[in-house]
Amino acid sequence: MIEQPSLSEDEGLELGLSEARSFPCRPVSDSARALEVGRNRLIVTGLIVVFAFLAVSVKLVGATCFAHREELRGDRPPEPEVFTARGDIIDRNGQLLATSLATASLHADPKLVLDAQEAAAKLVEALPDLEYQDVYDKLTSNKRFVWIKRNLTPRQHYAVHVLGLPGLMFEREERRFYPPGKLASHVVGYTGVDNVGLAGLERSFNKRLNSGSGSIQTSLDLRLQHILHRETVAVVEEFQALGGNGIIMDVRTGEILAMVSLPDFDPQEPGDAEGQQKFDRNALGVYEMGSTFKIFNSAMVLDSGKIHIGDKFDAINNIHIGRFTIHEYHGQHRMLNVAEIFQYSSNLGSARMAVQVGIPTQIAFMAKIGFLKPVPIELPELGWPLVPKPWHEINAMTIAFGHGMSVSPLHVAMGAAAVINGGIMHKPTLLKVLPGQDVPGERIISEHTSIEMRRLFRIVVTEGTAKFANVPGYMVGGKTGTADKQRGRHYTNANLTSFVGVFPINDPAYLVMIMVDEPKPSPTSHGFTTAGWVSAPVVGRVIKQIGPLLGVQPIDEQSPEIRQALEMDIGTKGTALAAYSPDDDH
Amino acid sequence: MLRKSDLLWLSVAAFAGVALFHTSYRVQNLREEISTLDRQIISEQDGIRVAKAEWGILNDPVRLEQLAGTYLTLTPITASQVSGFNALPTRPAVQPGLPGGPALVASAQDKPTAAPGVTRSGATLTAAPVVARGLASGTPAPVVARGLASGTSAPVVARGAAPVTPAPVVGHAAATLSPTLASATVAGPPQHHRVIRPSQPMSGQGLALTRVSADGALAHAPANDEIGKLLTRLGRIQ
Repeated sequence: MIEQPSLSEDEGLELGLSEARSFPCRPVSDSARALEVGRNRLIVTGLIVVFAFLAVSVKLVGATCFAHREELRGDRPPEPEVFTARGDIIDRNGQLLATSLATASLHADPKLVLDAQEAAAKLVEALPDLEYQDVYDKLTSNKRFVWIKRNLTPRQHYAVHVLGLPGLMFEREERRFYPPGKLASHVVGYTGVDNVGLAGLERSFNKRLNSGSGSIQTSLDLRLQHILHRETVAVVEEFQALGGNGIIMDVRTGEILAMVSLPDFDPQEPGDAEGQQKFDRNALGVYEMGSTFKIFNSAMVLDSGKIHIGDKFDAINNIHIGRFTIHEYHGQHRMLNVAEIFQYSSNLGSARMAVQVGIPTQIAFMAKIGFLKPVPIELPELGWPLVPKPWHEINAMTIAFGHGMSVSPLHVAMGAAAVINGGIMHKPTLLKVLPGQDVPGERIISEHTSIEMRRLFRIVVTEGTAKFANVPGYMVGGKTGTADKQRGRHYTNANLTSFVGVFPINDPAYLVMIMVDEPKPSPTSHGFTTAGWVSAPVVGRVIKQIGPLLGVQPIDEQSPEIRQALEMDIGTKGTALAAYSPDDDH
Repeated sequence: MLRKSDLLWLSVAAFAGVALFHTSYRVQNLREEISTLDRQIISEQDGIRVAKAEWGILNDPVRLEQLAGTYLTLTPITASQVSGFNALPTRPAVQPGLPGGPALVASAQDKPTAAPGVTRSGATLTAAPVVARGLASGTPAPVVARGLASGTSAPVVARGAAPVTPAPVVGHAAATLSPTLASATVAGPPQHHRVIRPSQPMSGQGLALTRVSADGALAHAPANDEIGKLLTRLGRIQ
C-alpha cells in the first residue's frame, strides 16, 4: 500500500521511485538527473531554434515590407548598359569640334567558327578591304577572341550580319569624329582606336571626357579659327614657306580664340600624317623670335624706372663683345630714344638698354613673364624654352633683340598680351571663360608702362615697320620680328618672320600673332621676306575680317580723345621717317 | 485526414503561389519593357549624335563660305560699314510741332523689340550701339547670327539671314538720350521690321534723328552730313 501514493504521482516520479526501489540509491538518482538534463537541453535547443526562426521571420517581413527602396535595388537586374559616350568638344558658340559616333566592330571566336575557309571567303566578299589570307589566319588561330574589323559602317554591319556566320560577333564601339576636319587639329588633337586621347585637348582632358560628365567647351571660335587658317594657308603658299602659325587671343582673359599651325593634319586619320604635320608650332615649337622680343625688352627697361622713354642711346657704333659684333641692319646713324629704338627696331639701342638695367633685372623679368618655363596651358605638348646658361652680358644683349633665347610663339602672345592689357598676366587658356567669371591675373608691369607700350605699338603701325598691318577703324598696334634662322652654329639668310598685332590699341581687346617660317621672296612683296612684308599684312587681313565678328566698334582715329590717348612726342621723328621703308625691321 | 485548418493553410499556400507566379511574370515583362526602352533611348541618343555631327559638317565654315560665294552677292562686313550713334549728326534746329527727342526715346525704350535683327539673334544690347549693314559672304549668315547670340562684347547688329537680293534699304534707328541704351537695325525686307516713326512729318528721307545733349537742350546745327553718307553707302550696296 505504500506504493499507491507513489503511483498516483506523475510518471517520472513513479518511474524514479520504482527505479529507486529496484536499484541501489545512487544509480536511481543519477538516471533521474540525466533525464532532467536531457529535458532541459531539449527545451533550450527548442527555444534557440524558435528564436532563430523568429529572427529570420522578422528580418524577412522587414526586408519585404518595410525596407528602404535603395536596399531593394540589389534585387533588380543590372541597369542595361546605357551608353555613355566620350564627351564632345565644342567651341565657344557650341559648334562641334569633336564628337563620338556609335559603330559596330566585328570580332570572332575561332573555336566557334565551323568552316574557316568559307567564312573568310564570305567575309572578304562583304568587306572588300580585308585580305583573305589575313582573315583566314585569324579565324584559324588558337585564340578565343580576334578583332576582324573595327568600326564598321551601318551598311557593312548589315552585310556581315546577313551572312549569318557562326562565331562572328559584333561589339558596339564608338568612333571619334571631327566635323571641322583639320581646322583645329593641333588644338583638339586626336584619339586612338580605344578612345584614348593621344594628343591635344583629347589627351589633356582624356579622363574628364571619358568620365561621362558631358562636353568640354573650349575658348576657340570656329569662325575665327577658319579665318586665321585660311589666311595663314594663303601666306604660306604665297611665300612658299616651310610652315606658319597663328594665334588669336583675348588679352583681357587669356582665352585663345583661334590657334593654327601649318602644316596640319586630318585628326580623323592621324596615322596618315607625315613629317612635321603633327608638330604644333604654337605650343611645342621654340624659336628665336627676333625683334618681337623688343616688346619685352622695352617693357622691362621702362618698368624698371631706370630708363625713361625720352632717354637716348647710341645706335651709331657697333658693339664689339668677345669675338662677336652686334650691328644694326638699317641703322639710323644717330642717337635714338627708347620710343625710336622700338619704332626702328634698333638692335644696338635695345642691347645697350638691356645692359644698363642689368642682367639680374632681365632674368627676373623673363621669369616673371613665364619665359623660363613652358606655357601654362591645357595642352600636353609644350615646349621648354631654350635659355642661356650661364647668362652672360653677350646673352643679355642678344636676348634684348630676340636672339640667343628660344621660346614658343604662345609665350610671346601670352607675354605681349600682359604687356599691353594694362600689365596683368593672365594664364592663356583653351577653356571658355564665362561672362562675369573671375580671371586670376598677376601684375607684371605697371599700368603706366603698359599705356606707354600701347603708344609704342601704335607708332610701329602708323610710322614704323608694320604699315601693312593697319586696318582703318580698328586701331591696330603691333611689333614685327624677323629672326635669322640658325643652322648649326651659323645664322643663315633664311628668316622667321612674325608679327604681333593688338587691336583696338587704345583699349586692347584682341591679339593676333602670325609667324611664317622661311618665306621665299615673292613678287607681291618686291622680293622682301621681312615681317613687315610677310606677316604684318596677313595680320591686317585677319583683323579686318574678325573685327566685325568680334563686335569691336570701329574707332574714328582722328577723334581728339584717341589722338590724345595715343600720341606721344618721340622727338626727331619727322626727318627720320622720310627715309624709312618697311623692310628695315630687323 | 484533412482537417478544416489544413484546408485553410493549403488554400493560402496555393493563393500565395499563384500570386508569386503572377508577380514574377509581371516583373519579367517589365524588365523586358525596360530593356526595350533602354535600347530605344540608346538608338535615339545615337540618332541625336549623328544629327549633331551632320549639323556640324553642314556648318563647317569652309563649306558655308563656298556656298555663300556661290549663291550670295554679299561681301564680308568692313569696318566702314559699321557706325555708331556718336557718328550721327545733331539735328539742325527745333522743328515746330515735333516733341523732339523724348518721343523717340520713349518708343525706343518701351519697345526694345523694335529691332528685329537684334531680337532674332537673341543678343542683348549692353554697350554702345553699332549700326551694321551688309552681310559677310566670307563669313556666312548662320554663323554670324550665332556669333551675335553668344557674343560677349559690344554687339554689332547684322541681319542673320539675308535675302539673296536685299530689299530696298530701310534704315531706321532709335536714338536715346543715353547712347548706351540705343538700339538700331538696318536692312532687310521692310515688312519684317517695325519702323519707329515719329507721329509728325519729317523732312528729307523721313528720318530725322535727334541727338539731345544730356541737359535736355537740343544741340547745335550739324557740322557734317554723316547720316546722308550712311544712307548713300547703304543704298549703294543693294
